[in-house]
Amino acid sequence: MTTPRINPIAPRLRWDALAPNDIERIHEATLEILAETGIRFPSAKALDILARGGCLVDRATEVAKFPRKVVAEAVALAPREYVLAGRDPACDMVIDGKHCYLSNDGSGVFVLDRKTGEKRPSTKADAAESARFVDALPNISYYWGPVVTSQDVPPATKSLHDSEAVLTNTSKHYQAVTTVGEKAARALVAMAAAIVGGTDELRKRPIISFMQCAVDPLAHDGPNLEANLVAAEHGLASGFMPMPLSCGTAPATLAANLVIQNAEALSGVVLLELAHPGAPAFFAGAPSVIDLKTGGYTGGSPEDYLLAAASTQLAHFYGLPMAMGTMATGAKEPDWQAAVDDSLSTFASVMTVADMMNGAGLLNGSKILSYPHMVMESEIYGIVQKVAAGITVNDETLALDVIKKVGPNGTFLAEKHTRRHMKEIWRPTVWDRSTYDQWLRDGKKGALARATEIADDILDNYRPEPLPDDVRAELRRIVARADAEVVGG
Amino acid sequence: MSKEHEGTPTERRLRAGMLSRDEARRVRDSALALLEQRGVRVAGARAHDVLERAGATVDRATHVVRIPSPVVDRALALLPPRVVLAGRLPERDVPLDGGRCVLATGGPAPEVLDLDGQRRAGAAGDLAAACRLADALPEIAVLAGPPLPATDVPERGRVLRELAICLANTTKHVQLTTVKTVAEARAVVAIAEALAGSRQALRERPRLSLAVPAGAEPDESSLDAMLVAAAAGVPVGFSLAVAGPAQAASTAAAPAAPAAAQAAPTWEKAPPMAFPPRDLAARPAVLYAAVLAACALVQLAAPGAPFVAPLPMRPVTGVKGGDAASSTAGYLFAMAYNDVSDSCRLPLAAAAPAPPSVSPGWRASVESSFATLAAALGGADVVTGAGLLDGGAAFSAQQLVLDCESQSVSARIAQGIEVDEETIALETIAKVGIGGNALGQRHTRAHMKDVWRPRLFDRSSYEAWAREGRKGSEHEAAELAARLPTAHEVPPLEAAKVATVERIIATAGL
Repeated sequence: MTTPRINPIAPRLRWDALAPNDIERIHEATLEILAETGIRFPSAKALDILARGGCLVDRATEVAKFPRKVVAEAVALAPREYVLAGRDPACDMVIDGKHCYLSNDGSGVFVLDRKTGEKRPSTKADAAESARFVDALPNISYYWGPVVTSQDVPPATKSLHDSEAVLTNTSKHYQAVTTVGEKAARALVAMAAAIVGGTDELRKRPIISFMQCAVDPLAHDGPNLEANLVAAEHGLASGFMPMPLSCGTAPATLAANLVIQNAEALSGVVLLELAHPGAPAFFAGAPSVIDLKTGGYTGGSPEDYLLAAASTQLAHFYGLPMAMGTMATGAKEPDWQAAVDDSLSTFASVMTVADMMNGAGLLNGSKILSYPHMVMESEIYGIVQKVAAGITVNDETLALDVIKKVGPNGTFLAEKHTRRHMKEIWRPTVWDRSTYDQWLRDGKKGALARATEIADDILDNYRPEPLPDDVRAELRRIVARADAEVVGG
Repeated sequence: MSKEHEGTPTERRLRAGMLSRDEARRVRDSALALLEQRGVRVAGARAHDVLERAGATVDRATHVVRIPSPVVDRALALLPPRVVLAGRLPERDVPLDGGRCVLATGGPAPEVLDLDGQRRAGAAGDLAAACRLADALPEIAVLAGPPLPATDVPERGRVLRELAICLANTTKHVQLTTVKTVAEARAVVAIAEALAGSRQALRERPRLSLAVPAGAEPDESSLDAMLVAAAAGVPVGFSLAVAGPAQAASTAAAPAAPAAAQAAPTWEKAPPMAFPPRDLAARPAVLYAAVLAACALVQLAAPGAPFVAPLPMRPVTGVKGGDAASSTAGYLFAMAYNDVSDSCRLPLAAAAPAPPSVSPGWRASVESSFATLAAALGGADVVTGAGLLDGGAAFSAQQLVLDCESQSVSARIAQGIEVDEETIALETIAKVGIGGNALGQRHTRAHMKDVWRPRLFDRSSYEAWAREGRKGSEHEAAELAARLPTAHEVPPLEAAKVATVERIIATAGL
């Protein structure tokens, strides 16, 4: 039996971080902020769209205020379900509120070099290699980012170099996170169209989507807005990711953080739907709290996991999918701390059924790529998948007759029932289950050593399905044209 | 000791359920059916008498007792309204009312894992240090076990000597899983009474409790010990075992195995959880039946006795064999159990699976993270097992410190998100405005203290971390584990009480 290319979770267990009346209160507070404080949209095009759609726009301050009715009607236009396609149809992701898909993390700038063990700045070759690596791991369903950016290419066209590297090396869905500005967005669309056979075909087989960061609190960035509008124009899914930090860009309390995030994400969706009614859209978020010791980003805390869970509930309240920051850690190595962050954040995201979970692979607050770390996070994903499957209670599973049949101190190992169902037991990939003495004999190798072996094997031996030569050439031409335009001024 | 986590929230608002009401009802009904039709194995004449008088059917040859549902219901109606595990002072008391989940040590682990990675048998000095470390860590509410045996103390009387060491080195509640005889139980009761000041005071604020390790089946001697303690008002916790068909079917069945073979197993000899791997749902019914039966026995023997239901979070045997200590099913059990017992809330002590990891690190962290969160969200009052590694074969001070951080994280998650006018802070949001910063706001100053602060999580920059020798959270934990046992002062027990405890031990005849 072939291993599936991607391995989504369909949680049977659910967990609510917010009660229904809490969601309502946050929703009402959000509408109040949208109507009275507004959101800044530093883009004339975006302001035009919002004004035409019924928002109150102040062009001097670039702030748009949203009447309740405008918000409700626009959000109602967003589709509740859609597909994010892979170049390989076996990698298609059904975004339906019932499945969770994990991606890698994104926008890192360093790589832990596997030869030296030291961190070094990332290059285009790393972006390519990371896509190839993600392509190999079934638990990573789509590529987000890039996971690390190309820092050895012209900065102005970096995102296109990133995208060329990614699209060439994975046939999974690609959600671009660094493509900003109309020009770059159109170039990326052209690249994707070249792969699938035209922009009409791209609308049917959307192998790319876009995600942009918002600017907390209560603002967007002009080029980000323009890029997502290009996505919506072509029927490609897009979303905006607020990242409010409690005590900094959001008040200290988590409920207020949720209001800020909700307002920003909702305002982005309204823009997209006013511009292109029915455009696939999603909420995104990576809310957190300030680390009071350093003043910086925590990279992982219990508040993060709670905010993630609550944010996903809010997105689903509007009938929208959620792309939630998951598995972030401030740890510098795949150690105890990384495991706490990864385990509990994945739990929070899966138990609230975050549709997209971004993602695995980066250490030190989403800065440093470690391939063994990504393998270990894939293991945690598998555990959460098993937990999320829950317990089925019926006559078969209660198995009273089986219990009554086998006596005390007996074993079920020889039972037909056991042989039939043994395959459902979760099996580790990197966890070591040997005895203490065996572990000593084997040289005290733990999970990191095993994960490193797996990572090295993938990097040395795995080859993704290649693009046809002519398509590769077209991607290179698109990038080269963009480079030339920059040089030409 | 740093101040981080002093603000660790204790109130639990969130719960994650596993089963629907209908599913939970089916599990409960199945459990009662098992008790009535299959019965449980109960060792010893004393327990047989109690149950038979109450209306159960006892087969004294096979030790199988069938308990009709009305008998169970009558027994549960006798449960005390409140159970508290008391410390030396009221501020250390742990009420088991579902409002919070606290952490307890586990054990005894046969060996100590030193900070340098060496393993050896534990001694009295190690036990004292472990107790002081547990006393210093705010997340540890109960010293259970004890965490390790004092193997340098003569075996005869060791249980009581270990208790004395615990009492001298912690002001927290002490729970023993090592009491196995009536004589030991009587001595423990006498000590508990001496510490409380009177039998009545003992009943109101029991300083000590007894438990049989979750998942283990008490033999006659252990069972009688539990009943002696329960009669005096010492909280007890144990479960029985659902009988197999051969034992339940006929009085002519083969006699039960000798008591020695049924003795509470050590960690190494613990039998694999012999259930069909697929039938995870069977486990809640069997577990609940086992606990209901134990609870019923205790209430019928000593009406109103405080009882704490044990929940083994240990799962099915792995395919590879040998490792019975960890898999995902264990976490599910914690959450399912609380749904099942919802209609009759027994205080719950969830035994977190001791990670099979032989050293603190990534894997132990994954397991303890899920275990503490599952227990916290599932409604457990206590989660035991902090500080154990290698499936319970080793106690690690470093792991204890790490487990406390996991617990703190889980407790904060279980506290949830408060949504009201103050926390939504519309006024502050408007005041900060677009592109502003909340750092200087009164609202921020008022609520900053509620932000969770790590004791161990390292959030420094990569450069700072590299400069300081690449020491992360595990290193910090090791430093605390080394420093706290000597730096932390435990107020000495009053001299008169020490003398009384010594006298009781000396005259116990053990």
